[in-house]
Amino acid sequence: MEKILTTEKLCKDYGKNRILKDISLEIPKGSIFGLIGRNGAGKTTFMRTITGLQQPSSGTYTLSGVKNTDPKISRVRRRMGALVESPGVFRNLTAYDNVKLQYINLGLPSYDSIPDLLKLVCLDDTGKKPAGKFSLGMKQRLGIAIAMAGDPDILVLDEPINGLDPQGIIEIREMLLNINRSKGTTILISSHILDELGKIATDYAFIDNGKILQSISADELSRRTRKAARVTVSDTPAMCRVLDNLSFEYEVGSDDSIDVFTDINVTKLVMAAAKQDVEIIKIMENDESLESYFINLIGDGETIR
Amino acid sequence: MIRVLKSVLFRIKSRPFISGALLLLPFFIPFLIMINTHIQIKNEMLVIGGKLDPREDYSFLIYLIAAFTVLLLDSDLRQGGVRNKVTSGTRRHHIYLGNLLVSCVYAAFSSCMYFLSWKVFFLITGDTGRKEYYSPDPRSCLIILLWTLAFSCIFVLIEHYFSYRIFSAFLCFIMLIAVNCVGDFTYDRLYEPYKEHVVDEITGEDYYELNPKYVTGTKRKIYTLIERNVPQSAILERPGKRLIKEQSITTLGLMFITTATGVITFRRKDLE
Repeated sequence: MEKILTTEKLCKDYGKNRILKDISLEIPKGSIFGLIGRNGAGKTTFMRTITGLQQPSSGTYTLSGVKNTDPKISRVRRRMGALVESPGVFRNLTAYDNVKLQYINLGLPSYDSIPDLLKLVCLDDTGKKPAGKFSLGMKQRLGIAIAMAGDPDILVLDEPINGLDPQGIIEIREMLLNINRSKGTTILISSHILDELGKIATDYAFIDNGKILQSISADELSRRTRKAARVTVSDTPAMCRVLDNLSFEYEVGSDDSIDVFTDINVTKLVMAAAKQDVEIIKIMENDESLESYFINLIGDGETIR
Repeated sequence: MIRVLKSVLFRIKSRPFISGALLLLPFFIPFLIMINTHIQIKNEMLVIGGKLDPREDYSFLIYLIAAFTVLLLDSDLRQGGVRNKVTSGTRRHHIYLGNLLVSCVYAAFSSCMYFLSWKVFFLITGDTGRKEYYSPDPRSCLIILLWTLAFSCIFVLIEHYFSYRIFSAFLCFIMLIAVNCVGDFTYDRLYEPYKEHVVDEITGEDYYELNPKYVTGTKRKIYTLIERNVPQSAILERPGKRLIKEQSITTLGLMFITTATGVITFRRKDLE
């Protein structure tokens, strides 16, 4: 799959502190890429670096085939929209004028598409109301509209649903899905609310202490976090035959355990196994959420703040 | 670069009318002060020994105009405007240069408002006004304009470097005081008399002796150089060809150095 953004051993230092440590990532074109990590894990620093707000201390990144050291990167960056930290919204300007200002920043010749963009983020009815009087959710949506100016190939969104009420979260989620599906825009998004991220992301990267712990597709993740019964047995090949006979969907894990994805009748399974002289040592339910998967991954069991 | 200028101008255009009207203060403040003085003299509430110089307080006004225009335009840094520009591929030093250029244009506009206030005052008061105030030489207006632009360049650099409005304003204020103190100090030392009058307390005899405070040699040359190059003395001096040349070199040099420093710094520094 074509990659829109790749990073290679990207590092960022603040004084003597290394905030990003050798980050190597590949973001597929057209994906919704969720960046998951605790506070201070390095998510915002990573986003600030790839959006050009900070220079990497070492390592490189390639955006749409252009390396960050290439002078052409400024031109390519015009195809990137970003909402990093708080939305860059001028309080005295209306929603229309804020978006228009970004059109001017991008050097776009026509402002005809601004009303459509405002409609997409449900801000088309704000009229002459200055952005300073907008609610937090409206400002976030305006920030996304500004990031969407010029129909970018990639959107970088740092905690776009922070501080939003449930209705606002749903609206932003629907909007991002709509943008991704209708325009094929790649979205790199970070959020603390993992359940929300789980509803839209097609790929994930888990970051902790400035390091990428794992980069995984949503399919792979859902396979790993799928509800299953983990059966520990004395003879795995024989147990596989039993499960085949029962037409159960399963996957062999470690040497002595098998994940069974079908709802099982324990008595039926034990009897079938006994017929084949297979001893069932343990049956455990395995039902991981994105959150528990992440907590298991970072290893210290701390909850995400 | 054109995109940056368009963006800055769009923001200025969208600002409330009142903030634009503030740029006219350099016209109204001196004009009202001069008119007030004129009325007081006319009503014999104020007696003056000689002609007044409308440029006298300008050394403060150039800092104020420069700082004021910079602060008026700085909302880019505070409201995330720079972030939007950088992430959309605008180079940092272009953002700096764009703001610098617009600040200088505004500062020049405000300075012209100040000159206009003199013109309007003399138009209204006619010969009476000319007896009360010197009509400044247009060449001294050039020096004032150059100094205002030089200070605008310095303030824009400070404002962009620190991105912290209160600290920048404080630093500009300290600079204002420092330049004035240096100017006053060098002026006092240079105009110390060569000999001083001394009266012998015992004999009552009076005589002249060399003034120990009189500065000579290299020190005098340095003091002279400083005194000729601080704005408050330069703008009050009778603007000859030599002074204009010296002042142009100083101010244009300052503008060049600050701009070059800004461009080099912001090519590397992460703005914000």
